[in-house]
Amino acid sequence: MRPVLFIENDDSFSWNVVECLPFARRDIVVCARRALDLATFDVSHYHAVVVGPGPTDPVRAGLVAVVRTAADRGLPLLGICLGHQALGMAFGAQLVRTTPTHGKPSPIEFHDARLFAGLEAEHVVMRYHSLSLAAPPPPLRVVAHTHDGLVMAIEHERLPMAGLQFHPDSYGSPSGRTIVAAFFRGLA
Amino acid sequence: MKLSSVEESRSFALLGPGFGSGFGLDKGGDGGGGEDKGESSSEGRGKNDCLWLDGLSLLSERAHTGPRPSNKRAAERDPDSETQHAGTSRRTREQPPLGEPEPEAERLVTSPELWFAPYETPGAAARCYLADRVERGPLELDVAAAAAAVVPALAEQAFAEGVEEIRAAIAAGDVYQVNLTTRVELAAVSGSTLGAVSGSTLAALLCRRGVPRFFAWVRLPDGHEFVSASPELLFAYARRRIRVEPMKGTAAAGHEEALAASNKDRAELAMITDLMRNELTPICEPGSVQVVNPRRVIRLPYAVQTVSDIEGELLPGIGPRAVLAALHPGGSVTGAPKAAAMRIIGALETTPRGPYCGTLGLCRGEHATFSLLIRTAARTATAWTFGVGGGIVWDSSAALELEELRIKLGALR
Repeated sequence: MRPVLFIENDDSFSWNVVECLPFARRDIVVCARRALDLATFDVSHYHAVVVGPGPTDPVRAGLVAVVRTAADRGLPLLGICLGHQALGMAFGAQLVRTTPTHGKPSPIEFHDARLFAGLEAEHVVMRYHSLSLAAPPPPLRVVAHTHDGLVMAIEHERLPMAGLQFHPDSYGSPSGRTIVAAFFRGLA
Repeated sequence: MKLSSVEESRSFALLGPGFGSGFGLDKGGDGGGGEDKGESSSEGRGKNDCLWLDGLSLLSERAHTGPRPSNKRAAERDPDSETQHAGTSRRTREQPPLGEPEPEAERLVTSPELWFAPYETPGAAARCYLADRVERGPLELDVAAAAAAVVPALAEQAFAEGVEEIRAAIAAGDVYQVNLTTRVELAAVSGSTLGAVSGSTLAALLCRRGVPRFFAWVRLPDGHEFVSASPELLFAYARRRIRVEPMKGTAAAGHEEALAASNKDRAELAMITDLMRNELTPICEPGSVQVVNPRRVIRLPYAVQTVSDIEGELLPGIGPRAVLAALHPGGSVTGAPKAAAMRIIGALETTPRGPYCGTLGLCRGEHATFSLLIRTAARTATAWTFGVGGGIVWDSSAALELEELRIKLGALR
């Protein structure tokens, strides 16, 4: 199997995400965003790309361009937190300030998901974010919310691309590994 | 061993019970005296038992000069205490260059190594010292505790402004938590005048209500000196099993229920728990890093605090330097993400932290225990400075954070 590319963004949770992926460590290539040259980025080397979490916003972190490159070249993509926000912005969603919520769990519910199929029950997940996607337009679909309506997961209508605003990698997200595994199962 | 005798030594480390018994793997929950459930090691030693490493020298220099003769006072030591002359088993090879893995044979030494890194020194550049002689026994507080005055008072205005700058950075998404600290000067009160504090009077003050778990009074060969009443373990390992115990969340002594109910304090600890999992993962076997206890209360004479317990199985060949490179400075004194938080700390704090928020460790063979040097005073040319701080999150307010600093200054009463 070709390896999964993990894009690291100066975060203190990156290795937790790597550990949360349903692949052995030797099948994951970790690359800092600043070390990735999109001009020469050969997607044929990889099975999929995971755009990891991190501080700042997707534009300053240079991640919107990563999503566009993956979409153009047909590479499956899972965005976590900052990576999720990058996916939203690449397809026209607005990023807005919300009440900063870091290290706090929230119950969320998946609904009408294509890539995250079979997760319809309520999940308690750990959140680390100050910014949120507001009303993502088509071709994006919102497939999980908090009870107060914040976007917690998105999917592309046709492409194998999805994002999770929360941290499936946290010890405070008991079903996080199941949620991430569902995405990769959906690719098969 | 007596505080007055220690004071006379040129260079030494006097270390609290958490460093010696079981290398911190006994999960002693105590951070100081006055705690009800007590802490005694599996070997049945008392909770005030200390280790005294006398006559320190840098390991890299020791290889060239050989051991110095033992201090004369060794002959006058308490016959009941346990003394080792470490010279015979001391390793003579030079320390491996920075960044190289420590070969297994290098770790099979029987004399303890003292490791130290100030906050500003990268973990990979931590210094390692050996002692001429090691003594273990109950600490005798034969020096009157300093009645320490804090002069000048806490820089409240600057700290409050720092809290608001950090909250603005959190709102922008630039950082999740920043541990903001400040330093106060200490002076001894004698009658109506203020005088200089000596190391032994400060040590006596901090041990007055029982020797803190990771108490340390260290005078290095270069003259640097600090006294720590730390209740916090940075990491301990026994063979390949490693444990970390980040501490976040504080309330005044007796307010345990309020601390348990505080969502702000719970979130502070949760963030650093995830950060520590992250930092352990690349040095541990895949899948081995586990949060074994997400939140546990530590009772101190002046405060209640919360810690989590995270364990993992180290990869083969990982020694103290590689662990320090991964974990130091500890996430509980930086914030998260660590790189962003440290940049903000560098911009907001006007003086270096030095030993405060650094780490001090004792390694022996395949065991190591490293404390995080909070509740720590460092001697400068003119005074002792004591560091206090707290984790600033979105739910923080300047007033409540300043109250938390006052609670932590209670270690000096």
